[in-house]
Amino acid sequence: MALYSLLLTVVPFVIAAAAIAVGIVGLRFYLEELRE
Amino acid sequence: MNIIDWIFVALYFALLVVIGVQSVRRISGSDDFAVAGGRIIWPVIFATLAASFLGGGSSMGNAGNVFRDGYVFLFAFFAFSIQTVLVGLFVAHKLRRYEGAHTVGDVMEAHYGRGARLLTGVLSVAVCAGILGAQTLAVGTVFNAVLGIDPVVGILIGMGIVLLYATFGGMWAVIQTDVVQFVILGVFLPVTLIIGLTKVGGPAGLIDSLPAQHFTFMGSWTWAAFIGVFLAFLLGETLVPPYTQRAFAARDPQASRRGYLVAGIFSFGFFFVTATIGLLAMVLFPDIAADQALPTVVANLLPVGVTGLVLAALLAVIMSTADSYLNSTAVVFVKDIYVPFFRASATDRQRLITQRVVTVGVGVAATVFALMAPSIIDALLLSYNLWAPTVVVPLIAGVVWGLRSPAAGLAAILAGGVTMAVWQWGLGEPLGVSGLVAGVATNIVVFTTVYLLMPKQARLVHGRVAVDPATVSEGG
Repeated sequence: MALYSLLLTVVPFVIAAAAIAVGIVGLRFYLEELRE
Repeated sequence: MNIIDWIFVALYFALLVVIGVQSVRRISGSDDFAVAGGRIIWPVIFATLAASFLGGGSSMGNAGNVFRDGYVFLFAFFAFSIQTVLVGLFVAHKLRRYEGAHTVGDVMEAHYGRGARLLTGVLSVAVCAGILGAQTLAVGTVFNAVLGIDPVVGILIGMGIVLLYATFGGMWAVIQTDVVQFVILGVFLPVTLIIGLTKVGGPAGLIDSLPAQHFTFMGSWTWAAFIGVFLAFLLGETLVPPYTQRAFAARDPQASRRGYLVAGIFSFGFFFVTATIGLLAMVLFPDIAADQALPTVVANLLPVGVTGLVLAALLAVIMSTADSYLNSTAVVFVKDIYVPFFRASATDRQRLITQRVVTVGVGVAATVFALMAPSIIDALLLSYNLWAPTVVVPLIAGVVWGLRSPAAGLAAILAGGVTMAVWQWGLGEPLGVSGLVAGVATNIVVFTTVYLLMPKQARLVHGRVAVDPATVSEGG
């Protein structure tokens, strides 16, 4: 129960944080490619 | 939906079109159209790969099955994540060493000759077309479930936009839009879970509201059923054309490996999120059909504004998969079938034009079949079962161990395919073993036997080889 609660609390935030981080890196890559 | 929700959905579509238009000038040849010039960094490979394999099955399908059977389906579904991690560890970086490769057929020809390229090309087109058709139908389902509008209108809008950017921007547009779609689905499906949990009283409320069996490892399944589903997810989509194409698109072997590894690890968490949304639907809307679990939660639970964003996320899940399979179908058809067997003298510009024309043709055909004859898509989806029993074992044997043998490759492809078809459709899965598993087992046995029996000189690959074979042996 404690582990399950922890997973339900942590996993959604980790997934969202990873997506945002990749979005930022992807945007920089996109802008660099546009400049070339 | 509120006007704010509509604005968010419209902005999402507009963003995809803008990226597609911007990507047109990046496409100077078939290499750009197929693998984005092989220049993609690993975080972007991670995003585009994840966006491609996180489709209707891993979102709505996963939520629906967990709604019905509990977490046992999720544990079986984790086989896909394990497969992606294993490919990242042992295969992805070696695929990137095939200079000039765009398709699985390119690699197969280097190890097993032209016949293997043709068979792989035909199987690739069939698999991609079937999955593209299924995603096309799913676009209509999402529009209908969340907005209540006619699925036909939804399909025309969704596929119209995919067709626009995939035709003009090729792989560059597909990858850039995949990143946008990955961010949207990666942020707003977890948001849906967090909001939903507050409605059922948190994790404790969720556990108290459902039968204990929904949370156990095996649920109500038998071990035989579990192993069958687990093996299907482990093998079924291994190295299908759009995933392999992303390994070729990576900047270097290390980018390919990291992208695959991180995408595999990420998918464990993402599948857990969508599965748990299925459980929320079971608590809050127990009378709905299982496959409506995720759209129902989105349509009924979320506040104004968030509904539009999550609808965009659901559409992103499907459209990012559809665009990948659309691009792959066109690239494979031109590279593995049309040019080598019908138009060997085609210039690079002619190949690019053909790829664009085929993209339009395949996209229109998928839309028409989804609207007029869904049974054709059902028929094509059957070919999905033929991928693992035919191509995967020789492909991995060639890439990882550098094995070459046209006889072994062709024999394994044919034996695996025939076994799968007869076992699954002719005999009706005797002993409860799926045709996919029987086909893969036959494929392994035939490949190994023929390879060992053939004299060494019969292992030479004759004819034109599209990739530099030296890179294979160097890569080991």
